[in-house]
Amino acid sequence: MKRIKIIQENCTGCRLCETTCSFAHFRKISPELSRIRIAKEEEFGDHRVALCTQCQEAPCIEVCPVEALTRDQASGIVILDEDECTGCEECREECPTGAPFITKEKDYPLKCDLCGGGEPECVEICSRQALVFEEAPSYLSTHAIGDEKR
Amino acid sequence: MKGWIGKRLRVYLTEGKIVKEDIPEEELHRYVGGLGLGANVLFNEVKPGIDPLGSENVFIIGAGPFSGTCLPCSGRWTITTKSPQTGGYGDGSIGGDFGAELKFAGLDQIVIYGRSPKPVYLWINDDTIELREASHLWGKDTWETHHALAEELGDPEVKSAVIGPAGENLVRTALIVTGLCRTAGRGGLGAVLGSKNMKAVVVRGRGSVEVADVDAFDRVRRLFYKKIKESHHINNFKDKGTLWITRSSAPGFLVTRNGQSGFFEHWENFTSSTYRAKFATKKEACFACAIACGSHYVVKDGPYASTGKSPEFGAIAKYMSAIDNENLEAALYALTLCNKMGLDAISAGSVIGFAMEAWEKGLITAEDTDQLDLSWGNVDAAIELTRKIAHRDGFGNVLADGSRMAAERIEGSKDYLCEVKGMEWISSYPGVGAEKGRMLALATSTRGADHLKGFMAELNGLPLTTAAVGADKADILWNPDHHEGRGTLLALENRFRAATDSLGMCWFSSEVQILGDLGPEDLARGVSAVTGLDMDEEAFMRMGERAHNLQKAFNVREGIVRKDDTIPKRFLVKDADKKGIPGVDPARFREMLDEYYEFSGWDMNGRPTRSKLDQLDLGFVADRLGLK
Repeated sequence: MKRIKIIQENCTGCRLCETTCSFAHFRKISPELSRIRIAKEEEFGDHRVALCTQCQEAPCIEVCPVEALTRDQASGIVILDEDECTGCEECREECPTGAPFITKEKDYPLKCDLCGGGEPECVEICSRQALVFEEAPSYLSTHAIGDEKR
Repeated sequence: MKGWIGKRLRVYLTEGKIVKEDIPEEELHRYVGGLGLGANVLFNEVKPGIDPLGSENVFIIGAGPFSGTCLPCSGRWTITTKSPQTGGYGDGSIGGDFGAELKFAGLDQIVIYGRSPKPVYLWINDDTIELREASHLWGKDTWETHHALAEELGDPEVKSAVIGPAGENLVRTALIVTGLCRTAGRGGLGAVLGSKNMKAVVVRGRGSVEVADVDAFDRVRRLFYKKIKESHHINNFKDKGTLWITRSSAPGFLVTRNGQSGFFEHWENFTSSTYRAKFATKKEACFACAIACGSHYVVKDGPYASTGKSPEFGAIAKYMSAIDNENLEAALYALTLCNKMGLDAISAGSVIGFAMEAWEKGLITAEDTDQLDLSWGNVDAAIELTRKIAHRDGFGNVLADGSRMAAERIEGSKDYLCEVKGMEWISSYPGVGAEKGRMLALATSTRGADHLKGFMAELNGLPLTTAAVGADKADILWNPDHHEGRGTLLALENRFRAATDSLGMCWFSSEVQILGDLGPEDLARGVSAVTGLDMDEEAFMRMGERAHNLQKAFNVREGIVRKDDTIPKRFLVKDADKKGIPGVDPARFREMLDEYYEFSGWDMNGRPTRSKLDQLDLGFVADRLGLK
């Protein structure tokens, strides 16, 4: 399947991916409503990008007590059923990227759904190719360390 | 209300009181945001003749309706105050993440009054807003302060705007820094915050910005992105950063040895390609920026070992050509030192260049300069002097109020001044054979010798320009040998710039529209989509004209008129081009200025007329100016 690859050294810290993500999903603009998060490091530009990479063996699916997380067999995307989710945050604790983000705005965590198919909005708006949408059997970014943010 | 939050914070430092209020819709519709909203508050709330460093000055922070949205290049915000350097209207458009964060925290504008009895900083954590003790931060440089605030508040994501030692010491060329290196650099804005005993404004917001018409907004953001991606001109900034200007200024436009020449022998030492090959590490962008003109750099070792970011042409050239230094490593070190000290590198490098010329002419000696040898090219002395200026130490104190005041203290040096209205000249122009209209831009800018209120490039070639100057004259606007039409073009660009700075848009996204940058029509569409205001190109330009006239009216009330709309004596030279020296013919300059005033609807002394102000719904300004 196609996944979003993070090329951390290309990230300029503009955060257009964050705000575009929230607009695409909620028609509101807020980093707090984004499914991708950039933790900025100002001195050297060592920004950290955190995002669900749709792991092939997804611990979040295993750990979800109410089976709200499932893999869509056709697309391979890990889908969160927001109505089933109880907001227990166990998925976040198990996630190697720290990517399901907890926000006071919603009673479920926010995770990337690859915009449901086609090129994701964050990839389209990334002017420096820090995010690339490409065919990869299993990809887990070593740079995606979400714990540093929220 | 969409686009805007509709909230203003008033902070009374003397009393330690904070009030949040609604901004009337009519005020937002008229002045829109950032620059416009700030200019209105400044004109209305600052009494004429007050000391810019006294408690009666106000310090205004403003985001625009585009701030915090995902419109590409909408990361700018504006600081407005009475400038301690010029005694007139002062403002600075600044990038980084702060402006967007302000919107997410639920504010469009902050107005700061009075003077705190002890050092404080303002902490805005969504709806929890407080003044906090800052005595432990006083004396720290801007980087130390940035890190200390994040540590103290327990959140690496806080966005801060801070001053350094220069601001604390009321150096009249002190600046405001956010994100370590993004600055509101010019006019001494940092000294105003210092005079208020205020070290920083820190913000953390978790709210959102909504837009009026989501479908239209979705189209506009895609249009902006496409144009920014495809513009040949913008791609220069994207690929090369602002140091691409070094190469284009090399044929005689580089301000060299305090403006004695336009040619700098070692220009190749600070081109973008030299810089990128040796020092640049990673591209760096402001919030929502699809250009990323900035970059991080590393000088690994040696006496100038340092790390920093955003080495811009304007600042770097001041520590290269302006002081005749050929070593880029040293200039990078000096720039980062300025950022840490909270000092405007353009003015600091300029005033040092001015002192070096005074040394060359024998007006000062080692006895005056604390034994520093100010020979051209002595960059180590320049670096030491930079520190001294920030701390008002010894000879640094002579230079700490800018070159105009330094000239009062160095006998016989006035002829070598390179400033307008007290603000030091930028790093390029006037060149031999160059577009002389740019001299007009620098002469008439409301904040001093600066190109950011219009620079003769933005609107050239557009239908609205052709309509204003006349079809027969539109073509000669491309010919530097002609000066007709220049005044008209500049007046239009003043309006355009005031409008873009009111939105929160970056200059670089709309600098040369003929090459495909964003223009007034595009931006007007953006305003309609974001705010719901019905805005077209004409209304957009009118909005800018209103904001520009407010700036001008503020200056007129301070007595800043035609006599101040001039350029340094050394650049007013008859037959300069023929003589092969930088400058513009005084007669030619006068004609451009007359045309500029006339098209602006101002009198020949450079004052807005009542009929012009009435036409812009600024009748109250005419009343306050006592115009009949």
